[in-house]
Amino acid sequence: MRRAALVFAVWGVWLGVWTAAQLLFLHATLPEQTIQWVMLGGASAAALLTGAAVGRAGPRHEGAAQLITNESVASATVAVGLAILLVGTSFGAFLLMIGGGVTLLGVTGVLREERARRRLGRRRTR
Amino acid sequence: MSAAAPALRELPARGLASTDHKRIAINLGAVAFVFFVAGGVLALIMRAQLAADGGVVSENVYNQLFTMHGSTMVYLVVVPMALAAGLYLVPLQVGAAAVAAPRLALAGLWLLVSGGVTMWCGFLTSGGAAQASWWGFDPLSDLPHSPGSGMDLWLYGVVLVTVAQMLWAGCILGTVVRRRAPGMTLLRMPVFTWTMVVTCLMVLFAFPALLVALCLLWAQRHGGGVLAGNQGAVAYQQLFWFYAHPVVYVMFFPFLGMAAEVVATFSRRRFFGYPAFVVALLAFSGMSMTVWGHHMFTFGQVTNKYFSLTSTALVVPAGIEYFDFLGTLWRGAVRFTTPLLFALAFLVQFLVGGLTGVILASPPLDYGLNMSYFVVAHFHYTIFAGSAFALFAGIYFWFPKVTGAMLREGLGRVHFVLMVIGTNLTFFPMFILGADGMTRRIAVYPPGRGWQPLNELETAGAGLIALATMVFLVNVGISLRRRRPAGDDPWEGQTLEWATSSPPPRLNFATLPPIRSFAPLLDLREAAPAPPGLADGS
Repeated sequence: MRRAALVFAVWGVWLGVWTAAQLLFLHATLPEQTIQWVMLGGASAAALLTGAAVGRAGPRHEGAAQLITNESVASATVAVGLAILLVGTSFGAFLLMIGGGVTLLGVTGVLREERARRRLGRRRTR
Repeated sequence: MSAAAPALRELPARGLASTDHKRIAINLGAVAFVFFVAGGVLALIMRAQLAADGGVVSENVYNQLFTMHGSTMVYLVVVPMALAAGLYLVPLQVGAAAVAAPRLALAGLWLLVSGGVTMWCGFLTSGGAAQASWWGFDPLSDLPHSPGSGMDLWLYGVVLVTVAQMLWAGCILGTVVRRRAPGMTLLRMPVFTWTMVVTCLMVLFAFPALLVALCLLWAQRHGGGVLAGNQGAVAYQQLFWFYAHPVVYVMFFPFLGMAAEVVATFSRRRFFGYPAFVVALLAFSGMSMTVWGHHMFTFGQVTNKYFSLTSTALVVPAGIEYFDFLGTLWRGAVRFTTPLLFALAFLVQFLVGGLTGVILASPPLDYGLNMSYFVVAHFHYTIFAGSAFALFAGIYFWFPKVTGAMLREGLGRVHFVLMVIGTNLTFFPMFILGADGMTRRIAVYPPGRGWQPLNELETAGAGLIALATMVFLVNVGISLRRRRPAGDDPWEGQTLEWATSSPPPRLNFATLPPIRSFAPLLDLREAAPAPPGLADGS
């Protein structure tokens, strides 16, 4: 896990170096062009934070299979529901309601799948 | 290994809701290919318009065509294809039984479908589809300049697709971080997997800028005042290009990885300079996040010196990568199969795209060439003449693994020849037209400039590309109907996916070979005792 975190860290530092280089060029016009270094510096910081999070995570699964459902209609339903919801923000309340309903249906399905997965996991460990 | 931990239900994973990473990737590739054909049809209509110098479609419709062609190819075809390859191959190459967070990957597939359909529904609206190019620049895309719902549908479509791409990137990166097999250290990961790692880093840390830009654009269209004035327009461009230059490399690195696997396998050699290649990849991907301002040289709103420096400096890691390719081919026992032909064409043609990029990285030259067909030629040489060729190399290479059947070599070569001729006929004259001053995105060009013959040539080339695509589809159809079984490892592959059956089972591997390098199967072959005839020197 720690080695994988290194990839994020190295990449984040590399972006940081280029952010610093940008500041050297920007010194005369810094206030107007703040967005330039904020975006790059932000990406650098985000990569470093992700690296820190990866470094703190538990040991890796080393290729072992987890219990997963073969099919998950519920996940697809959530995605389609969210898409309808988004489009509904411009095209009327009826789409919002349909999208909300479909999303709710999907989320319920995902929760059921997850409950079944945990139940089976517990049965296996007994 | 994985056989000891079966899935919840031992049913064959089929259908559109499968959580099997291989099935998701195949579905994703199929959806992207449908959009590729649709985007290609739009290109053919545009080419017909330009060959005739007008008269085929109105200027209004032409604007819709180039907007939807670019949007389709970038958002719905090339990036999804690149990530689909990662979803299929990365778990296999790192010895994992499944992708991390498979339900998110599946949700991403359906977000792509929803986003693509949403975007294309613009053609059904009274004002037509979006017309503000695949950039969607403000103020061209704000309500006064782009009235009607086509632009809104484009915006929603791009948001959905971008979220999907970020989900896939998270799943692939999660697999590399958390699911590698025992012995699969970072520096034993295959080259293709490394290219996917840097691709996913760029997706995760650059794509959010596009979501921010689109949220601001939505607010501008529905309330106004968010992207007001010149500063607003420049802010949108900064955010957009912070996404849109890395996306060019998202559309490059995975295909570079495919070409690397193909070149190593058909040179029957270990990939040359692996550690340098990995370092170059990390450096290249990081630097590609720093070059977005070269798209804005002519605006006078970015630090041209800095962006010219970073854009030109990209040739250093790119040069290392090319050197590694040549080192692999050098003294290799090269087999000129269809995948290798496509990979070699990728290397040569992408070089044209890359070197013309160096020209555009120089502000004085860019001032003259910006918004001309030279830029269109450069872009298409990187993405089509480059990445699409490597994609076909990858398809011919991994098709036997995915389907268990070999593609026909003869038809593959016909496909290759037509593609090379068609691609260069279509895109090379664009350099000449651009240097001569033909601006991009014009439905009709002024008479008397002598541009029509070259435009006719380009249209003929586009027709050849369409013909080549049909030959490819016929090849796929024939190969699937009259199957020539591929076996597990038809090419003497080097990486773990060739150690399992073709197609691989639901949980990928029954057993894994020992992993001692980034080419574990080559290690096994090299460690095997030589055939008796060779051992005694006879």
